[in-house]
Amino acid sequence: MRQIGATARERLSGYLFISPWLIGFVVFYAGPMLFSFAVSFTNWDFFKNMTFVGLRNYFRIFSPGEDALAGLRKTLLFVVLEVPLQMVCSLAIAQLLTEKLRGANVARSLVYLPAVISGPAGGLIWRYMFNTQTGIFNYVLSFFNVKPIPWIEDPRIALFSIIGTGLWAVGQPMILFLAALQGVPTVFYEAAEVDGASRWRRFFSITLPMISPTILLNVVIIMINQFQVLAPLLVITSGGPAKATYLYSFVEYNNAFKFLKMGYASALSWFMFLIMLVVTLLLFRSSRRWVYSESGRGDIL
Amino acid sequence: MSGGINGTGQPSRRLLLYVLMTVVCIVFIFPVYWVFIKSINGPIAIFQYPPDVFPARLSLANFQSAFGTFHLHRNFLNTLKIMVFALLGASLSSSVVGYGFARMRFRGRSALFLVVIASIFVPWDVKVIPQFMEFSALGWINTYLPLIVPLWFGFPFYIFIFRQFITQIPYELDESAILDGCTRVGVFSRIILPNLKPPFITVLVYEFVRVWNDFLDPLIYLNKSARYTLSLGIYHMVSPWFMDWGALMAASALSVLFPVLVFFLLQKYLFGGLILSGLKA
Repeated sequence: MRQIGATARERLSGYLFISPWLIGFVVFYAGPMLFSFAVSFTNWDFFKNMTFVGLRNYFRIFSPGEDALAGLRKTLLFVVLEVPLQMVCSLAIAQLLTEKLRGANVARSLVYLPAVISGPAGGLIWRYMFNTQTGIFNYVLSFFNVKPIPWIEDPRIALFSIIGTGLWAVGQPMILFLAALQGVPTVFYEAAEVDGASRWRRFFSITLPMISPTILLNVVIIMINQFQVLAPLLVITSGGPAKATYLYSFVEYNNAFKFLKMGYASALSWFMFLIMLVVTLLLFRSSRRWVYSESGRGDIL
Repeated sequence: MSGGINGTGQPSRRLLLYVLMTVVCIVFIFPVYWVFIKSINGPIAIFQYPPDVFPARLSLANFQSAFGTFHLHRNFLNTLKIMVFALLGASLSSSVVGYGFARMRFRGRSALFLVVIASIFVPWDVKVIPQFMEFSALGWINTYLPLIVPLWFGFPFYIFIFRQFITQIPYELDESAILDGCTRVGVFSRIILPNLKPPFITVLVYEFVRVWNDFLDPLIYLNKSARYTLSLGIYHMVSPWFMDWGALMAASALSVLFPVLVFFLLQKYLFGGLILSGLKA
């Protein structure tokens, strides 16, 4: 096997092999991100000279009447609803597909399919189906004598319609759940059944604890994705109607790339990063209590 | 549950499960079905009410306007150009870096690899604003460089895939080649690289789907219509004043078609990579 001490030559060639990533990381990630952190304390907009403004950009996020604050509230509502819904949907479908049903493989492919469809194409299909007068949803509802619902035209409904479209794209967490469920040793279920445990009891006492590492991974991935949801807002509602779907990420996008307010936009993005970081760290910390790990250590990385 | 015990439920429960699975399939496939049907049904069918759930006529007029009015072929070509360089750069550079992390021993290796893993999770909007400022300063706006160049420096998720795969190749292969006087570069190119077909296919499938569907990066870096990629072109067919829904359906159908084909032909590689990422992480 490998010798214990690495030679200087091997160390050097090690750095050489990873140098593309190392250089790229410094030049395209760490460097620009540090720069943007510095810019977040200035009023830079590409044209004016850069002036230091202290924490003003960060305070501005919370000033009443700002789109950012209103957007943040909507984003939080969105995340609080979308993450549990996607988790439950993906786990329920994965659980269904582990029952030995004929055609489960085909179903698995069909459920994953939306994950390979682009934001604009997928979003437009939904927008088309949401049409109040001629869309398929209201057509189907008309059989049940339901009056046409203004899915994306009513400010009170639009955000929930977008949340609904998110449930279409649960293919990725579903596949991870499926793999985890198939990895649970069958002897556990057999023993539990001998002991007379009901189906639900087995699910809550065996399945959930056994797949808890995947639950944690999926929560983190889905949450990070949903905090920055943008494409469906751009394509389906353009942030409207009446700013009902003008979420935090959209405010950030407009300030950065429409108004070119790089200082404010940098502050917006760093603040969001901070929120995501804190929530992720809290999840990892709490995971020691609820994530099962065979090595007895509650770490997944 | 994968348990054999569940294979022998009551018949009524099995029936219910089949009904459920069928409903799930219909819900997930219907939007895709709908876009294909609407694309070949001609412009008249778009806002016809009640809608024909099954195709009632065949007309390619939607495709004609998508190509004629909206230059869909130009957007196709632009996406393909980016695709070639992105596939090459992302797969080659990531395999080299993955080899370094899998086989070399150097100070800070685990810490640096942790940075690779962590950067998979860095949100898009956190890195895009800094990169936008950098690429603007470099004069790269309205070029394909922002969409290509960073990929030649390794893509974290692909580095991870290659590294995981290479650690499973017996190290004796490297050792015997080194004893025969092979350099590390020689070991990589002659011994390891020929064995990397499965992760290469996984990475190429991923990268194909990613580049094909990439929308937000082109949206930010490309604002001349002659430069639009396929998905960006579709986005710009949306207008507050007038929307040619027929052409939109045709363009969407075409843009959906290729990833769906690739997906059905190569899905075991796609799932393989996903599951690897989920379980080994």
